[in-house]
Amino acid sequence: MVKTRIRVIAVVVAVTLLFTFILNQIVGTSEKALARGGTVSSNDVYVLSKIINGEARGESFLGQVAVGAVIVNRVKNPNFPNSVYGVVFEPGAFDAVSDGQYYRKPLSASVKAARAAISGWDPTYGALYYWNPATATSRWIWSRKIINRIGKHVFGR
Amino acid sequence: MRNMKWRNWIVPGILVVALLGTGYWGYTEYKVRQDLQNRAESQYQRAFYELTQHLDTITGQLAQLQVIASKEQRILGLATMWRQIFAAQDNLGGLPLALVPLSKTEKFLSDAGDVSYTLLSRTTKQKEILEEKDAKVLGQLYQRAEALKEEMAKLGAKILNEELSWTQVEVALKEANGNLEDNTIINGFKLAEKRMEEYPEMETGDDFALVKPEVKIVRGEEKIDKAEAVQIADKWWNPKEEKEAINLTYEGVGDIPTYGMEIIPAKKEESPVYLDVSKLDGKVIWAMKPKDVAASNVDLSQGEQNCQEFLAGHNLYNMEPIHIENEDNTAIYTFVPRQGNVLLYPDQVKVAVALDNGEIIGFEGTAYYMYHRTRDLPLPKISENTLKNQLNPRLKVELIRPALIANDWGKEVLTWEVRGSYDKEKFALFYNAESGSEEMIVRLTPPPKFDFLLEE
Repeated sequence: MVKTRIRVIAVVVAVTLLFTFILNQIVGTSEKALARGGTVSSNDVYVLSKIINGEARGESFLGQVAVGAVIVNRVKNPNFPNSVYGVVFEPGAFDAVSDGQYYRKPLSASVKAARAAISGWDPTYGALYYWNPATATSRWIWSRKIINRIGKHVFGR
Repeated sequence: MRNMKWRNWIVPGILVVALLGTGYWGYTEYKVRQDLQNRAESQYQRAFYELTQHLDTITGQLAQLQVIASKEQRILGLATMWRQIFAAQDNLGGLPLALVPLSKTEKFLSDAGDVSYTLLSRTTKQKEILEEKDAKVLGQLYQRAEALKEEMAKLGAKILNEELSWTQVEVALKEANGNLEDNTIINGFKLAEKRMEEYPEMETGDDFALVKPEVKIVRGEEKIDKAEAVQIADKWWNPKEEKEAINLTYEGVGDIPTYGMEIIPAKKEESPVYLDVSKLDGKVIWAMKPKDVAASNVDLSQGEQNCQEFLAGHNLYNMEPIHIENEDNTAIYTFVPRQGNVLLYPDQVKVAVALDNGEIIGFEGTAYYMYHRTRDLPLPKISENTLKNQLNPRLKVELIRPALIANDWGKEVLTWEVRGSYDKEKFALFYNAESGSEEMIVRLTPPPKFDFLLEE
C-alpha cells in the first residue's frame, strides 16, 4: 500500500515538473544569441525590419523587400496612417503584431530588406495589401487588384 | 493504525494544495487579462468618442468657412479644420477596423485635408470673402461631413446605450477573418461607408486635382518575351560575369508590367541578383544584390565614381548626385539627370554601392523610366542675383542652382534650388523661378543614428 502511494506521489511530482517545463517552453522567452547588428539612421528602418522579420521570416530576400514596400506604400497613401509606426501598429493590420512575432530581434536579412524598401526599391509597384492565398479567407481581400506573386504572398492594391 | 491514517491524507493533501495553487494562479491571470482588456477597451472608446467629436467640429468649420468675411478668421478656421482632420485620421487608425473596408470614408478625410491645406496656402493671396469655386468645393465636403457625422453620432449612442465592447468586436472580427455580418459597430461603419459611396466623385476643378505625369519609356510599343528578358538581364548585369542560370520568378501586372528575374551566379559564394525587366521596351527597372558587406575599404568619392561608370555603362549620362545615404558600409546615391544646367528632380535614379570592394549592389530607376523626357524649360524670370537678395539672412547658403521639381500636387515647376543650413539643420528650399515664391522646403538633416541588436 505504502509503496503504491509513494509511486503515485512520484508520478504526480514528475507530471507537474514536466507540465511546468512545457508551460515554460511555451510561455517563457527562450534565450537567443544576440549579435551587434550595426547602425541604422532613424528607428523606421529597425521597426520595418522587425515587422518584415515577423511577417515574412523564411521568405526570399525579394519577398521580404516586397512586404517592407507595402508598408512604405501605405505610409505614402492618404488612406493609411502617415508614419511607419502608425501603419505597423494599426490595430489588427498585421498578424505579427497581434501574435507577438514582431517583438523578436530581426535577422540581418530583414534589416537589409527594410533598408531597400525605405530607400525606394519596390518589387510590388505600389501594392497596399498582401495575403497568403493558402490561408486568406477574407472575401474582401480577394477583391483587390493583384499585381504579382512573390514566394507565398500575393501582392495587390 | 494512527500512522496509517496520517499517511492516507498525504496525496489528497498535496492535490488540495495544488488545486488551491492553480486556482489562485488562474484567478491572478484572469485579473491581469481583464485589466489589460479594460485598458485596450478604454483606448478604443476614447478614440471613437474623439472621432465623433472631431467630425462634428469639422462639419461646423466647413459651414463656418462659408460665412466668414475676413481672411484672418478664414486662416484660423482652415488651420483648425486641418488639425481636426489629422486628429480624426489618427483616431480612425487607432480603432480595430483594419479588416473593414472604409476607403470612401478615409478618402473623404484625406480630400478634406488636401483642400484645407491648399486653401490655407492660398488664402493670403485671396479676397476677404471666399471665392465661389472654393465655396463650391467646401460645400461638397460639408454635405459629406454632415452625413458621416450623423452616422457616427447614431453609432456612438448605440455603443453607449447597449454597452458595446470594441475589444469583443476586435476578437470577433479576427475570428471571422473580416467577414463579420451582424455586428452593430461594424454595421455602423459600413453604413457610413455606404453613405459616402452614394455621393458622386468630388468635383474639385483643376485647383485641387493631382497632376499625374505621363508615363513614358516603359509604355512603348515594343513587347518582349521571356527569352528576350533573359538576354536583357544577362547583358545588363555584369555581362562578362559567368552565370549559372537566369530564372523567371514572377510576372508583374502593375503600373509597369515586368518579368521578375533571378540571376544565379556561377561562383557559389556569390549572392544571387534580383532584377525586374519591363515587358514593354525591355528596360531593367531595378536590380538588387543582397550580399553581406564587409568593412569599408572604399571612400564615398570612389563610390560615386563607380556609380557614374555604372550609369554611363547603361546609357545614363549627365547625371548629378544630389544625395548620399551611408549606413553599415553601404552607400546609396541618388542621381538626377541634367537638361542644360537644370536638374530634373522627378526623374531620379538610385545606385547602391558596397563600400568593401566598391561593387554596385543595387539600382532603382522606376521614376526615371516612368517620367524621363526632354522638357520645354522656360528661362527663369527671376535672376540668381535677385533671388540672393530675397533670401532670409539667417539661412547659411551653400549653393544655388536651377531645378525642375514636382510640387505638392504633382505639377512640374521650374525653381531655384537653395541649399543651406540653420545651426545643425540642413534644408533645400525651392523658389519659383517665375514668381520668386517659396514653393517647397525639404529638410535634409540626416536622422539620428543608433546601434541595434540582431538575432544570430
